[in-house]
Amino acid sequence: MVARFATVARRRRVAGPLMRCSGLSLACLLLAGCGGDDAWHAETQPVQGKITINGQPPAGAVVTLYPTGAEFDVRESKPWGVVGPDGIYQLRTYEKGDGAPRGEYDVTIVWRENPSIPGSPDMLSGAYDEPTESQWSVTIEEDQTELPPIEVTGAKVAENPRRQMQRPSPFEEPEVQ
Amino acid sequence: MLRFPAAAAARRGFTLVELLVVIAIIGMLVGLLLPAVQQAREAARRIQCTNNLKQIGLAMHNYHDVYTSFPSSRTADTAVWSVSILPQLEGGNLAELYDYDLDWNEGTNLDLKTLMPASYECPSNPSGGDVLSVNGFQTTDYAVLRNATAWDQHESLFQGNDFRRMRDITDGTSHTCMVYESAGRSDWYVNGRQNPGRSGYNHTYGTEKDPWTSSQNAGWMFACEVDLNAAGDDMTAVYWSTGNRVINVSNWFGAPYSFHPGGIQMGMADGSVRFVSETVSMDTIKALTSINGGEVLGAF
Repeated sequence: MVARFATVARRRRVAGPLMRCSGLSLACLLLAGCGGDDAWHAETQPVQGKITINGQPPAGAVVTLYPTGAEFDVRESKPWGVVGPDGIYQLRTYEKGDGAPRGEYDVTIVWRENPSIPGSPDMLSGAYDEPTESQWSVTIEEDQTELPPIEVTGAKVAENPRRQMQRPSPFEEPEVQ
Repeated sequence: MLRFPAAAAARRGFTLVELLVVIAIIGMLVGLLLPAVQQAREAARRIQCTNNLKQIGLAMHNYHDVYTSFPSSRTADTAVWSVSILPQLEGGNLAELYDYDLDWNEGTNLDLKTLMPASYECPSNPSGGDVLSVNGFQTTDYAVLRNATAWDQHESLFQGNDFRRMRDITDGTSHTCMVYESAGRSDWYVNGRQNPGRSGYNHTYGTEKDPWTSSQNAGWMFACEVDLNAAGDDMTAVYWSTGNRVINVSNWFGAPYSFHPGGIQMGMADGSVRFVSETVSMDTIKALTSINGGEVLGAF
């Protein structure tokens, strides 16, 4: 009888780790197919900045950061942010509010008449949309959450930018509200 | 005397350990098999989609052989590309139903509403073959480019009323997009969500541009970002020509969208079919969409 008890006990001892092992490997196998889609993403940190054009916050303008050196991911992503009514923009790279990777950037500003319409013209007539002619370079250091404020002065804000376009827009007023 | 019955009892059935080992092995095999089966099914659907794009590409080339130009993407005085190439897609009888003297949405041309050939349908589209709720037309899962991404500098293969010819593609036919996936256009999709609120997409566009015989079954590839609310059932903001994403953002305005994970399939002007990943850069997209941009296109 003693011998039989010992066998059962030994079996239990063997079965415990075996079960745990198989359960673990099963979980690993099931999870192996998931995730890993974002492996190409660069590491980002939340960053925000403030901008004024002729002393006013340009609500709805888009600030884009072009890396000056090597691209930080395979998509050659450019962190960007939309200026709010208070002149503050939150940078985003992969999803809303995720910020930008560390590095050096040239800043461009485009202020579309209505960004929710495709092909909407720039009210600044493209004066600040070339990264190679940018007047502002910024560096995002580790743990930096604020960019130095940008103050644009003497900018010409077009009243009716559609009229000044060099080529007519091919988008015959698609109805987006 | 005591040992014999004990040994007999031990052989009577399976022990707990044996059972557990067998169950674990079966579990592992099922765990390996199930994702593999799903991926194999998707791979098969993708290959069928590749074949559709190949058929469309060959039909375009045969059309070019007959009429010395590619078809047009507008119906100023002829049918849209998806109707024009029907005779080259073994749809001669269907093409005879189409009255070229009428507009696509007039008279007997309405009879073609639900007669779209299967080659225009990607098998990965969960609502494949469905009709637009506004007018009962089926929609193709494939579109041609009505504008280059750098539209203010370069031109695309199916721009305006023009009938482009092979010689107009100075960038090279293997470096130029001819037809690409803009799938599921009987519904509106944003980031994989079906119809997340109607507030942003007025259906007039869908009525005029998305039906498979419509005046302009074509689209464009512009960077676009669509923010949905927390519940994901309505749009909070849209930014065109902004951000870094082009592929698989939304299928509105014939934008590149597919139900294959990770990217879209694209038929090149030389008839080859490529898989274009979501992670391609804007410069690559600009180079692919223009016929005369002069860009140097690297590997993508």
